[in-house]
Amino acid sequence: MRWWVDFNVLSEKQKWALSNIRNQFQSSHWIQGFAGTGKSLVLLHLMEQMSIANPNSTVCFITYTNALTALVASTPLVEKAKNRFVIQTHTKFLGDRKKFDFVFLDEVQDIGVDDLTKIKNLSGKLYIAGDPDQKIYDNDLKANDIINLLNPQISELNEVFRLTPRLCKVAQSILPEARLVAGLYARTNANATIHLMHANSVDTECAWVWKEAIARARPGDPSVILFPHHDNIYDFAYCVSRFLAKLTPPRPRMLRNRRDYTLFNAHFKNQDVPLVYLGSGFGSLTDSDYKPIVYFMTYHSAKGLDFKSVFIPFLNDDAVIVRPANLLKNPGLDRRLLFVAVTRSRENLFISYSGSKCHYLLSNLPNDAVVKAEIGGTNLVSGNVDDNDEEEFF
Amino acid sequence: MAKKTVCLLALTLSEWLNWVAAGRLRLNNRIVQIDSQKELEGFAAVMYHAPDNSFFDDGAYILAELKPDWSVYQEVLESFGAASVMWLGLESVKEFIPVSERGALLLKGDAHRARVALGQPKYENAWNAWRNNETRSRADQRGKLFVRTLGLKEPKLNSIPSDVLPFLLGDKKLPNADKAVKLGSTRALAWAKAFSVFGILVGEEEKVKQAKDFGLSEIIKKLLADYSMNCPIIYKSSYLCVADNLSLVIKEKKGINVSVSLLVVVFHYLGIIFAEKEVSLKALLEDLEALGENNDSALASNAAYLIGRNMSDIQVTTLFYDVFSDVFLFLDSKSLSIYNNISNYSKKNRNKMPEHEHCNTKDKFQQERSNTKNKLIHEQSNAENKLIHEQSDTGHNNQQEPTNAENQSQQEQSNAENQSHQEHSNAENKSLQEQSNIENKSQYEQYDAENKLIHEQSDTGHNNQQEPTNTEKNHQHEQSDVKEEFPLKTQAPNSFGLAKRETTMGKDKPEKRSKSKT
Repeated sequence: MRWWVDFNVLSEKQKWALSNIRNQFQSSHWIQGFAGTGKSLVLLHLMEQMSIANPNSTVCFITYTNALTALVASTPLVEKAKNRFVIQTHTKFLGDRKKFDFVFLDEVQDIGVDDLTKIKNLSGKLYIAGDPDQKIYDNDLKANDIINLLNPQISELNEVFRLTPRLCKVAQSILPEARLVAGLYARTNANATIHLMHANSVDTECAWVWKEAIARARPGDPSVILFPHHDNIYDFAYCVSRFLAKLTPPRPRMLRNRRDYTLFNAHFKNQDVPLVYLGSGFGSLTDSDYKPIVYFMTYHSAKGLDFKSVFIPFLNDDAVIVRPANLLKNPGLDRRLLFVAVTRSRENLFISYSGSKCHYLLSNLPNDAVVKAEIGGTNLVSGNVDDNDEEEFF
Repeated sequence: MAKKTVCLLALTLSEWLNWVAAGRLRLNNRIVQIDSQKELEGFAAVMYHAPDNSFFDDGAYILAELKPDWSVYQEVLESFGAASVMWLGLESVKEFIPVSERGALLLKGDAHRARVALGQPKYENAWNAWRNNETRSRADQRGKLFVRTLGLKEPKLNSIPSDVLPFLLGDKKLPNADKAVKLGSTRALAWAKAFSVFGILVGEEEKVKQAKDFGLSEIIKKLLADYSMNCPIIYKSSYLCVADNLSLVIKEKKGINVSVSLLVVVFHYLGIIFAEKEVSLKALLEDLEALGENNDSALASNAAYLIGRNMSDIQVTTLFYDVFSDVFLFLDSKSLSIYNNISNYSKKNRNKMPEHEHCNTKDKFQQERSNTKNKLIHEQSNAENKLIHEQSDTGHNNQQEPTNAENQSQQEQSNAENQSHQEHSNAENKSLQEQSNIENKSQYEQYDAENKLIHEQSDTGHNNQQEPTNTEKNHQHEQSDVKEEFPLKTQAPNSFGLAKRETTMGKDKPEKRSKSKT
């Protein structure tokens, strides 16, 4: 479990936040901080500590996505005391209507006011983590609503542990209001690169992204390709199939308000292509433990996860990250979504486009942090299958 | 230039926030007067007096620069019989100074909530120097501890040529290393890196020739799709002879001894550590075993040191506590014993080793403690930095220079304290040993004879570096002969990582090692 760290490895500030929260008498506490500051980690450690201090209490940890629920459930802390904690999505929690002594709610900004009120009523003590600036769902919750509703004690974390200084710069250029301080021990390998790649056509872009993603995927270190919409996922998968001369994949059908990727994933498995859609309960992170896999995910479902190599294709100037109607209702939502997408990387980030210009949100990328290159050009960085990097190395 | 002195106190984040919240801080001998002309040494003294929270992060500490008359705001806790312990009022502070720009950013929010205006991080250079020094020193300590855990001899890094060592220590990057994307997390990476060092040593032309002769490209291509990182890299490797031949070529062309096998082993395990993967202990021990079979006995020690210094503290100490669990009486034996294989490996090595090269834990600890303490006292004395609580207790001006007499007295006191500590420690060890002898007799009998002998020497104050007698040597050999074969091959692979201590401990036959620890 990559993002999990033991208590003794937490930073002084995280430890301070934990002891501070434990010693407060308020019925709710809010841990604020940007992506990668360890909010969820602190929340999980807090859950363990409160549960030890109150052995007969009932404890529930609520996440917003299925992927995060699976991730939390696989942490050593939860695994060793499976019966002690209930880990579930907020939809399940609200559906069950069961009351708990301690409730730990992650990604609070993605919950609506009504839902938060219901969660509060089902909690003895409520501990929340999240930041309204990172809101990526269309809901009515604002920071003031949280304060008015819960009157929480607030702790703020601002050190982004997994982001390298270059990634921090890029993230900040997309969301300038983000107050990020790059982690001291963030990976600074020579391979930690950020690239903005341009292709002549969509097909070239897809082929390059796929080859690069699979070349970088390792057992336990999958690559991920992120898309703003499900339609983009299918388009990309279709291109990959053509490129690999495989059968056309089935289009995921709508099933009770969500797309069903069962056949889609089965298709690629049968075709021996290590491509898996991950999200909404489809695919599993453990699939990649023993073989190299490339995950396809939406920006939304990738929230809370991080990967060694992240690819964000299709960012042409006419790319629609958020539908215009939603953007009108939630100004800046596209910025926040792209911010979430780029901050999923803990080492390599590849953004690509195939039009004449890249998306307007990428116009201020810092030149000293990003390498701009042409796909098929001589300054290509890739570990693609055709080159001889390994020989050049020695 | 006029000499300027300031009184500094390094606080942890929680101490700082508590101080601001409560208005007074309890502390003991931590205020250090530093001289602006000797800022680096002075700053180091300030940090050495700060609580050791094991963090070198910029947000973990903050400095308090005190007013010249800070002692006015102290309240000595004499009633507790501890004149050096005091409450220090917040009024004594001139300003709070983050250790760096980054620290300022990290503490900005807390400072804002506490209504504190932070000063400029004017000690950033000194902080970076101290942190780098501490990071290096801790890495060195980890490496040595790992070697000791494995029961190996002291590493001899001077046996590695100076144009190779920086690559192994991570001080220098191999050229084109960033191009090897496909090699990452494959078994090809270590071999490619070793071949790269070979190329640097023998030159481009020779490298091309040898690459062709030995089929180096083919080796890399074969290993490219091999992700089995949990297997030994040289043990029983069919490429071992290639490594040995390349070492011979280096010897022939450059006249230096470079073990390509060592390079491969070190690069392989460093690759795993840097990829944040778990190192397979079983594989590592087998590789070290293979290196140990070489004529150069320092190979395994050097490899273990170079790998150990890059592991995390907790990884190394977990193994160390487990192997020397008889020393750590407070440990819960039920939570240990996951690394029987490393214990056996360590014992086996210690049995093989001549006694004067043996790294006995208790004696080593005492010796190192004594060395560290003397070193610190010496450094402090040289830097003319002085703990000024004594002055403030007696009402002296705290900016006075320490007199020679004071320095000498301090030195004498420290030496006496050191000696007393040593005696106390010996007595304590003896008592513990006696207790242990009675309670754990049956367990103790199983322990190797060599270790027992050294314990006895230590208790009676004998020099443990004496040569063993022939009888003792024979006894050692007998002991090692009757021991069962190296058991690694029959055991399940064991790997370790950050979470391992919590997740895996206790699963593995605790009774076997359990003993009374009352």
